[in-house]
This record gives sequence, structure tokens and C-alpha cells, in this order.
Amino acid sequence: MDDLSAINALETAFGIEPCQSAPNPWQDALLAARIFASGGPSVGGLWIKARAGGVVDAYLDHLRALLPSSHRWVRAPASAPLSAFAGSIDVPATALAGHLVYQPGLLAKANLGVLLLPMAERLETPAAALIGAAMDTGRCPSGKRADQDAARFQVVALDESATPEEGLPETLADRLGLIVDLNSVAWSQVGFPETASDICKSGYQDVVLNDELLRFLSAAASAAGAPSLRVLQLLARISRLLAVLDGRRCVGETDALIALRLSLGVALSPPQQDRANQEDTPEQDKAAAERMPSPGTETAPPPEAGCDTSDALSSPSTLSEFLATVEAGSIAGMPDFTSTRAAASPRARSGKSGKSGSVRKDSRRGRPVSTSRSAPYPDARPHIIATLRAAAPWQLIRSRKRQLLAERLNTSSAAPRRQPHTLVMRDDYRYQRLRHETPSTAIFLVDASGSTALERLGETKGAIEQLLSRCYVRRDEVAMIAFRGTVAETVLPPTRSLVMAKRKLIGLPGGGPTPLVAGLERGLEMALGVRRQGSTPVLVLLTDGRGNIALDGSANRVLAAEQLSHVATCCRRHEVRSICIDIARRPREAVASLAEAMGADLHVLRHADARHMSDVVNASLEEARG
Amino acid sequence: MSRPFPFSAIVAQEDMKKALLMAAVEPLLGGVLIFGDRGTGKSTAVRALAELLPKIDTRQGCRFNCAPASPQEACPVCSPKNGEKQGKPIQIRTPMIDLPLGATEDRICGALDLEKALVAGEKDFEPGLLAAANQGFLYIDEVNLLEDHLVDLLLDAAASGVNVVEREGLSIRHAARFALVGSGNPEEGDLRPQLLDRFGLSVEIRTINDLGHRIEVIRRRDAYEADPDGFCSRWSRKDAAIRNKVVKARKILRQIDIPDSVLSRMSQLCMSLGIDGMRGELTLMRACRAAAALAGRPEVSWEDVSEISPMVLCHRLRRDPLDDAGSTPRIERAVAALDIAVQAGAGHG
Repeated sequence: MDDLSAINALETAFGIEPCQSAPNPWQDALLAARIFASGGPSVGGLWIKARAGGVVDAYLDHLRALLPSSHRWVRAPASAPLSAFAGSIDVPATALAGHLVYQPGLLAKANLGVLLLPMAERLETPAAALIGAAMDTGRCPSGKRADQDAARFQVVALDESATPEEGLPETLADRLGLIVDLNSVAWSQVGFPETASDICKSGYQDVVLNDELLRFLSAAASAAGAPSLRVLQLLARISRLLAVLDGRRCVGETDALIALRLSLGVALSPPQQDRANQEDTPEQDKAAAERMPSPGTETAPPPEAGCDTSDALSSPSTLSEFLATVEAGSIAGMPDFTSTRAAASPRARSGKSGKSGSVRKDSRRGRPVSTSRSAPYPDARPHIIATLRAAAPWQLIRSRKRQLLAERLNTSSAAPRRQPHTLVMRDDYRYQRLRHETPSTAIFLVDASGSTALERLGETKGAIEQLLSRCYVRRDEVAMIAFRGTVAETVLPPTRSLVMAKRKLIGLPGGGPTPLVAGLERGLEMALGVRRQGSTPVLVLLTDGRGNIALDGSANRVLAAEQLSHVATCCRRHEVRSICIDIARRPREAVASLAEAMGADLHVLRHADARHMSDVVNASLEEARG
Repeated sequence: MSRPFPFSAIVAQEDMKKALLMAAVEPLLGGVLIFGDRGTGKSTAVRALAELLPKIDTRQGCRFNCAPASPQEACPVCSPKNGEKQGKPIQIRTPMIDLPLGATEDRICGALDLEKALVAGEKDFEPGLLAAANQGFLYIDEVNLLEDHLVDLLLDAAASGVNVVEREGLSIRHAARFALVGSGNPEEGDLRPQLLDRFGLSVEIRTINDLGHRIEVIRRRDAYEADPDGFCSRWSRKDAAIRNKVVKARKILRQIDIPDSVLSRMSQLCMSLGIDGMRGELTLMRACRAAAALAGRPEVSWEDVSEISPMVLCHRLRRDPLDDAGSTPRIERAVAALDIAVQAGAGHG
């Protein structure tokens, strides 16, 4: 009940009528478009959450119409490589002109305009970082050495993410001031104001924003999971722009609240509270309608136009109550991104999967294998010697052809152009191909404790030997860590030698308590090390899920469980591919939850059978190499 | 972006500012790594630093930033071949070279000048970013997103102070003495431990939580954006004060004395934390010297050590996946333990 009364108090204090307390997303979107158009690069950009469709297209057309026609509108191609954003050498034009010709990148092309990023959830982090740096400094690297192009632009990012794991790279999300969610807008709701909305060109700089409201914005943003100062700055700007759009010189509370909604998606109050407010008197509603300028429609300037400090200072307690509700998470419309921002979800999961673990012929490092006519990656440099070698046999023919052409054209230009030493044409370009092998490494984590240890160890040894004999051709590696007593021990460092494996695995002792955490920690460390060397690790954990020894070696079951879940989340965060094999007599909840925490595939093998196990691991290794 | 945000106007984040100034005083420190949340003013501080530092001497037209007294062989301006005149000595702003993420290896090291090679048939060297950063700073935003082989290259050049180019028939050596400044957000990826260890100082910064400070940041930023020149001139005196401090510190740096007792306790500290190799101790000594010089003191005290040791040592510790709070508390605990031990020893003695 406390929350409810707090919100009631809040609404009466702010004078917000119930039907407006559930904000209409389309009206919000229109308001965001106006702010986007009037704020320019200072609001960063617009984050549109929507799947492709008519609503988005209509909204983008509207947005485009709001901007002056001089604004350039540059649409980045989906999955544009990093080099497309910065400038580069225009190779065909260079070959034609005989001197270096540069072409500006997308960022420089978007200067004084809008950069539209479709499928922004697929944008790679480095590209996002490049865009972010350009937004900060207003310049971007050009193809010329140590030269920079001007790049002051606004960003419109179309986020079509379907699952919570997807999303904008945070470097970019942090810099976009406005969020519009069009997923919930039906086509029937779409309508545009008939009179062209006025876009104020006067600055927001001299609009007053008092300390108290700024403090409120800061606290609300932190509570909503966006403590970044950049977000706060954008919030402050947007609330001032709102005041300007409304013709006031001073930011009021409504501006701040609308800014919170437009910028963070924090809705003012939950819709289910509407019923509680239905007994509001009509007079109150009327007054409220006057005080709260309805977004998107042009109303007369509210009566308290001008600097009304009494309104801003009247209700410090209601503000704090509002904050309390935000902190309690009881506000509806808390955007899904705030939870992910706070919990740092593995966003990279979607973008990176399936790119490692195989032979990369087109890699940027590794052994040179051959030269080819097509560029192995977009900004590859031609291999000069090979290019010249390819061009050499044609020199005589080409120079004759050139002469003939010149004679036929009979150019009137007074001075004949100097004959170049070599005639290199587009067909001559050769590129170096590099081959980089990224093998996979299976890391076995074996529970060597308890009564079944001997049997289990035996089967694991069998599985390892089978795997090694099988994956010799692929040059995969296998490692093994056993945990028993109080410590985990690396029994077999990553190796592809069958002989060494056999030698090391002889006489491995078993029995004692289960330091599961220590084993998993060691496994994770090894997996990360293996990954750094360019190999793809696969963790294979054989356990019955009952760890009873903490990391410090003490027999503290509770602490051990806590540490275990922590290490398991680390595994997940590092995106280590893992397999959990349950070897308990009866399948246990503990192993299933551990597998879930690690993001591992779960297999139940009641009788650890060497052949079956090696099949499972082999399939996973195959999968890891993509 | 005519003038960057003034250094002295940056609110809080004292560790970061101190680390940057120390790197400006002592070039041998080996660079600064700033890891922290988004929107904490990492790039702002680095860009502001270049504006603040005293100008460097070089010659007009020199692309290697050669000091006038020691011309390099590779530079066609400072060591002209056929009896041409050297360029005129001038002073330029401390170079602060931004390394864009998309940069290629030849852009960084320098490479054959393609245009001259193909059009005129001349073999000529086109200096890269390492040459441009000589005598100054090389700044890599999002260093953890940079390709590994590029980071290797940068660290190697930063550690040796020389850039060696052996490719496409070129064989060039030129000085590349710069302080490396890297920044990044650890949530987006890690650096290899071997690389971490090469950065002299590492600072972890967090978003400011103090409400008053937060508001002050927004206010100052607003004022700056409304009138950049006016804002900069309002802060120019404080900037000048910091500049003078750096200039003085550079002068007295080599005369700073470190008592043997402090040195031995430094070694004890590194041993108790299990830090491999000598690099930790060496950097700690240099950093303490730089800190004492910045404070204008002729001698390093144990307080310097306990204050600075987290930023010198925290990235050299073996990573503990269970330690959420970071390594700083571990170092502080070790320093405190050492203090207690020494006091007990004194009491007994």
C-alpha cells in the first residue's frame, strides 16, 4: 500500500490525470522526433526499437521531413565493416587517375546530417566504438595518414533485437539520448499532426535547470540503472529542450519527468494504478490538462509560462517518494534494457558465436599461404611485389595500346602526359592470403573424489585416449584436471600427444572430499589461457554436483556453493563452451542448475562409458569449430 | 572542437589525473591504462592533458618530431641528404595522437609510400603514427578492442622507444619515445596479462556517485559547451599552475632521493603480493619518484608508496576470479600488514 499511496500523492502533486499517466508510445515517439530535430547532435541520437515494418518506415519519413532538407541522410549498409566507417583509398579511382584518390567513409559522409544504422543490434563493438569516438570529438579518421575529416552527425539506430541477449553495443547506447519503442505501436495509432510541428532553432543553453531537478534526474537515472554521467547530461539537455519547445525559459518538473521517459523509458506510473485514481475530480483533471502539455499536439502555452520556481520547489517530498518507487522497481514500463545494463548480460553472445575454432584462410595474421586476386578482407593491402610481377608481362602491350589510344583520340591537350614507368591495372592487384589455424582444446574436469572415482577415472582416461586418436588429424588438443581432497590438480596439460597422455594418466589416485569449485576455477583459468593462444576451449565437467570444499580448502558447504555459482557465472560471462556430464546414480538437480549457470550442455551418463563420452565431446568439438 | 575541455576543470577522478601527470613527468613509466565505466571522462582527461603540457622542440616540417639537437637519420628534414638546409627549429604542442580502432599495421609503423612507389617509382618511407607520437602521447581508446597483433606492436615500440620497420624492401629505424595511454571498458573484453603488465600504471575508475560532484560535472560541461573559449580562459590559470608543477617536477626528477629503508619495504611489499619479475618494483620506484617530484619534495616517503602502490601493482597480481572488488583492496591490505609488521618490529627493537 505504501507504493500506491506514494504514487497517488505524486500524481496529485504533479496534477497528472490518469489517462495521461499511461503514456501513449506513439505520441512519445512524435515528441522524441521533435526533440531529435531541434536538438541536433547535442542529443546524440535516437534509438528506435522496432522490427521492420510500415510503422518504422512512416516514422522515419516523418523524422526526415522534420529535418531541414540540407541535412544529409546516410544509411549504413547492414553489417558494414569497420573500414567502411572511416575513410579509405579508392583503389579503382587511384588506378585510373595515376595518383592516390581517397574516398570518405560513412562517418564523414554523414557530416552535418544523420547516420542511419539499420540492424544496429548486429553492429560490432569496434565499429560502435569508432562511431562513439566520432560523436564525442566531431571528427573521424580519414584514409590519409594522420588526417581527420569533420564528422558531426546524429545517429538513428534501428534496433530489431528479438531476444534480451541482443541489443545495441553499450558504447553506442550510452550516447543516444532518446529511446523510442515502436514495437507496441499498432498501425491504426499512427497519425501525424496536421500542422507542421515547429522546430525551435533557438538554443537551449540559456534555459534554467535548477539544482534540485538536476539532483532528481541524477538520482532517478542512477536508480533506473544508468549511472553514466553521459546519460545524465543528455537527460538534462532533453529536459531543457522540452522547456524550449514549450516556450518556457525554465525547466519544470513535467519536463524532467518526460525527459526521463523519452531518454530512459522510465514511465511515470503504472497503468494498474489508474483505477485507484478514477475518483479524481474533473476540476483536477482540467487543471492537470493545462499543466501537463500533451506531447505532440500544439496547445496554448501553459499559464505558468516563465520561471515558476514555486512549482519546482513545492514538492521535494513527492520527488523523493517518486525516487523510492523507482528504486523499489515498482514503476511500470521499466525498460528491459535497464535490467541488462545493470546486470551486464553477455550481449556479445549473439555477435561472436561461430567465428572461432576453424581454419581461417582469410585471417589477418598467420602464415602466408598464397596470393589471390580478390581481397581476403575488405581493407587488405595489395601485395606490391606480386602485383608488379603480375603487371610486368603486359607492359609492352599496354604501352603500345596506350599510344594507339592517344593517337586515335588525338588529344588536343598541349603537353602530352608523361609516360608512367609501369602500367598497373585493376586486374593486376594481388593480395597476400594468410592462413591461421585455430584448433580446439577439450579440457576434462574430473571429479576424482568418493567411491566411484576409480571407475570414473578409468572411463575418462579411455575417453581421452579415444579422442586423441580421433582428433590427431585435426590437431585438436586435450587436457585434464582432476580434483580431490582439497585441491585441483592439472593432470594433463593441453597436449595432442597420445604417448604423453598415456604416460601421465597412469596411476592417478582417487578418493576423498570434492573441491568442485577449485576444479572449475582451474578449468576456467586454463580455458582462458587456451583461448588467448588462439585455440577454442571446450570444458567437459564430470561431476555429481556435490561440492563440499571451499576454495580456501575449508569444509564449508555453504561457502562452496556460493563460490561455485560465482565461478559458473564467470564461465558463462567468458562464453566458454562447456559440457556438463552428470555421473551421479540418479540425475540431480544440482548438476542441472550448475549447467544452467555455466550455460553448458547437460548430459546424463549414469555409467560413464568411454565411447559414449568421447562421442559427446567430439560432437561438441566439431560444433565449436563452426 | 577548437579547444579541449580544460584539465583542471575535471571533477574528482583524482587517481586518473595523478596517474596521467606522473606519466607526463616520468616518460620511463611505460604508459597508463585507464579501465572504467562508460562516461567517466577517460577520453576527456587524456585529450585535456596534451593541451596542458609544455610545448616540445622540433624542426619545421619534421614528421618524426626529432629534437633539434639530435637529428635522426631517417628524417629527411633534420638530416638532409644533398646539402639542403635543415628545417627551422620551432616549438609545437605536445603531440597527442589518437589511434583509431581501424588502423592498420602500416598506418601505425609507417610503410612504403604507395603513391611514390607506383607513380614515380621511388622508394620512400611514409612515417606512421608511432613517428607522429614521438616526444608525446599515443592514445588508444578502447584498447581492449584493438587487434592483438597491433597491441603487441605498440607495446614493443613503447618499451624500446624505437620503431623498426623491415618490410617491402625498407629498413628504417626511428625514435618512438612516447607515453602510451590506453583506456577501455573491462566489460567489453580483457587484455592479455602479458600486455597488462607492460603498462606502468593502471587506474580503475568508476562513475561518480557523489550527487554534488555529478551536478558539478553537468554544470561545467554545460558552461563549456555554451562558450568553450570563455570557459577555457576562466580555467587557464589553474591549468597553468598544473603545467608549472609538471615543469618543475621534470627538472628535479633525477635528484629525488629514495631512502634504503623505503626501497627494502617496497621489495617486501612486492614479495608479499607474489609479483613476478622486477618490473613491478622498478615501476613502483619510478612512480614514487615522479609523485614526490610532483609534490615538490626532495625525498620519497613511505606515504607515497602506500598511496601509489595500487595503481602500480593491481594489474600485476594474479587474477582472482572470485574477487569482485578488484585487486586494489588486496594491495591495501598488504600495505597495511607491512605497516603493522614494521611497527611491531620497531616496538620490539
